[in-house]
Amino acid sequence: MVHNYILCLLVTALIPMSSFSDGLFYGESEEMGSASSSTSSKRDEELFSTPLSISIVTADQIKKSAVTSIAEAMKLVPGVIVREQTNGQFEVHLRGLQSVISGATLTSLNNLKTLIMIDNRIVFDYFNGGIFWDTLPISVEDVDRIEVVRGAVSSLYGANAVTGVIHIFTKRARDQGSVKTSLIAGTKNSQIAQFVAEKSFEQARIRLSAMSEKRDRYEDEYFDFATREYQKPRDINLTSTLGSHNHPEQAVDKHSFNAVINNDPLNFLNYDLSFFHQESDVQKVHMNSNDIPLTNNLSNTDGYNLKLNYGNFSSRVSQHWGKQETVGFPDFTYDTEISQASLSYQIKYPRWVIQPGIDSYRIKYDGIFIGGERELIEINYMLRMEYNPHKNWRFISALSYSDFNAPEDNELNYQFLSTYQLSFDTSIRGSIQTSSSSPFMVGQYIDLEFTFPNDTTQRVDVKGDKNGRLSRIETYELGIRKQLNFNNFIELELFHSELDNFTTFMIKAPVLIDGQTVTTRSLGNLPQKAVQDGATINWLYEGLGWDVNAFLTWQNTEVLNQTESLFEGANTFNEHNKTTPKYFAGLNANWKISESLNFNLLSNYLHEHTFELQQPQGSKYIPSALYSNLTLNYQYNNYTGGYISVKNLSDQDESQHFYTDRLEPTYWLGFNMKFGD
Amino acid sequence: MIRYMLFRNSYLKQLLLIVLCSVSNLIFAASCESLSVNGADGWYPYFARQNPDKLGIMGDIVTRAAERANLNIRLNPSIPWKRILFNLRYGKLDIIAGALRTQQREKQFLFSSPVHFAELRVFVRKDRSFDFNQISDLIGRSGGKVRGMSLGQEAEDYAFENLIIDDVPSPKSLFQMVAGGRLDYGIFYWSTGKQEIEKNNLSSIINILPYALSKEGLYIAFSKNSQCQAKISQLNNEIQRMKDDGSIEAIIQYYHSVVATEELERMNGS
Repeated sequence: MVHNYILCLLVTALIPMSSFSDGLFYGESEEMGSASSSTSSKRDEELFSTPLSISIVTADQIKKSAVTSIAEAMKLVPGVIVREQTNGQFEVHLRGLQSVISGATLTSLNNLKTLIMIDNRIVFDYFNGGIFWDTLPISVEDVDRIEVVRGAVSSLYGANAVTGVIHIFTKRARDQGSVKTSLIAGTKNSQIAQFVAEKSFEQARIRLSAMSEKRDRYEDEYFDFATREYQKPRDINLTSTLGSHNHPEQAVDKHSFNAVINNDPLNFLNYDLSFFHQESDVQKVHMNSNDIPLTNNLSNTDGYNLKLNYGNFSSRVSQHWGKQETVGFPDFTYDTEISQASLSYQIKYPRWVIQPGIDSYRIKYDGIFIGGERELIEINYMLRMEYNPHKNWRFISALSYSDFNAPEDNELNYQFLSTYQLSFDTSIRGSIQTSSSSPFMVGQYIDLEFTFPNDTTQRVDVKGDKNGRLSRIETYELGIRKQLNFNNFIELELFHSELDNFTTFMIKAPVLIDGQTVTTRSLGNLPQKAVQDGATINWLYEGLGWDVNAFLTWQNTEVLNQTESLFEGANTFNEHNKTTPKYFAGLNANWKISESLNFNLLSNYLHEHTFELQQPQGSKYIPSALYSNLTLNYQYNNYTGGYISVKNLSDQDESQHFYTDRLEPTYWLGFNMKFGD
Repeated sequence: MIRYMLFRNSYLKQLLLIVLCSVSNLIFAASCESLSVNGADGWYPYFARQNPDKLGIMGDIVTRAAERANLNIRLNPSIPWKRILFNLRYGKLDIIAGALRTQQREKQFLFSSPVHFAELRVFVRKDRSFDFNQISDLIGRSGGKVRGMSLGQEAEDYAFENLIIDDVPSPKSLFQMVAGGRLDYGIFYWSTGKQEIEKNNLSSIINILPYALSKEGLYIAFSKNSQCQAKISQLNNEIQRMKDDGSIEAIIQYYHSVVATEELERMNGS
């Protein structure tokens, strides 16, 4: 069946080619090529000329594909792997490179190596690294565009931009006032309401937005690691947690609010101040439970982000604070407070652009797992220089020096890039880049003695290391972008990455202390090096009523010096890593049936792969699968519209993650209404 | 079962698409009784469609040439610029009244000889005006132009070696940045820039310096895939004759005088 479906997709995609191609066309492909991007050079430039591997997701693409969350929107991006854990909970990886240590834990499947920002504010989580998509205080209605840079970019954004950066730019109020509401309902009790009001007053523009989202899980059972079967919650014997989930059937219950005030960003002095609040109650893969993969996480955060620009000076201050709780893991309930400040300047001469800058982060956590209040401080000194030896040739170097309070060793990261425009429609580029992770609370400061609630003779002591080293990547890239003609844009990127400086919690032989068998796990260095080679090809086409974006990534990851186990002194060997699919691909096609009617097909393919974790989790084989969403969007006029959508059509009804919910088709209905201009 | 139905339906959709494509191709095979014309909206004085008898300099050149050659033309409705180019490429449009000639377009379109030019001027804040008599007067100042806009070969070469010019995404952004003091100057087409300033209520803030930075040739573009190649050739010859006998210059002078008159009226009114 799946082969027939692929055939359908290919034929469907080829029909417009044969009908409309060969031409000179000012189409979507050219628009994307000339779209503005500011993440890869920290200043506005044409996407076609950017020196890094970058893709942009626009608000229009989000609307056409009926994407309901920001993480889901990543399905539109080349080189990205998106797995759904349960209804509305996604895990996103750039190029893979996850879980390369043998005997890794469940959380190693999470992406700990991609930096995520909202309007330059870092929203990466420092608990154990990673992205808490569920705690982002914005909805898709707030998204203006998302820029995704694949590759190591710590020299521009500091630590944790190891496999790349996902930068979300949010909308600002327009001069015309309006009120907009959007209501979405889907199977599995899915309900999303979004509200936006915007108005300008003299020089100030104000935008208010709010979102409420509820979804039930795909399953009413959990996979039980002990019995290796999906079981009703009441039938599962919990060994490592104190309690079950608050609402086992519920996947997401989230509410957020945003208020933004800004003046014209083109003014010499411009400001942009946003306040945000979110509270969420979700299920996701978060803790290393020995029982089931999903944990129930509660989060409540508030914050602000203030940007001030004066001519070529840019400054930003932000703070967010709140509480995170994992139900059943009371030791891992904690308060957070993260303060960020940055200052940069742009100096321009003919042929030259020089951008010095400094970023500072103060990350404060307060929880039992780290023995009270702990602080991580990171200061990044950055210098980026761009030189044009010739009109068509650009050379860029960027350096960042990251100074941490822990560990004592600091990190120097660099980026050397060159772009050359071979002709008006062809550009090539090459780069060498490095990045490193930052310290995290768990790695650096965890100090916990955990007695199993159902077996008090067993105790696990977990000890962090303040001076634990930070993982580091070196990436080489070659890329070419070619505007084949007005309606065909193609880009190819080749990459080679070497990731090392791994650490993990090494296991010491159990000892008997006061009648308890105590196993100590303390942070230690590992000899592994992950070497990844790959290529991503991305093709954009637009016909008269069609646009198609198809992308495919091939990658191969070898792990050198793999350890047989996490026990100290284990033997090493080299192995092929099977966690990242060898191929992953996507197709986003729009058929503009009429001025008001649009049909969208969004398909994503993940080749077979296997997760291999420590016991009791074990391993999981995930077969090759193609998942598709079909959406019919109808815009009645400028003020009202809606869509119907079918998601997760596939020949597989497997879990995409580690024994999380098995996916099933869902049916969605959306309606939006606007008042005002 | 529902999923199976959807897969089966996708085959039906393909069939439907094939039928639609075939039908649309038949529809697009236009007859040759008249030549279809279109142009870029909001590009006064080069092209305008408010008054059917006054289509701007480039529009009037086409209509007069058609009259003189006894050819019928029909003005197509306003559509986005990219659609206009697409239609010209596939023979669904015969003529674009006013286009710049680029390497890429040369591959796909036929062009008349240059019939006019667009003048690039320097736009500054009135309270930050400076003497501008030659391009070197821009040295040491921060400037901007709309992304993708060419300054002409000579000015481009000089700017690369000596000037600081940022690319900005749109004309509106360019003039707002000049008005806001983010840029010392902006470079844009004279007449169109003047309109843009008025549209954005920036006339009291922004001044246009009198010296032209450069001039870009403007052309009439013809479809290579039109079914009316003989008539296109006839029209192109007539345009050349109009150029030679001064008729085109008369049209240009008329519009320049109109623009000048309007400007004078506005000044008197204010």
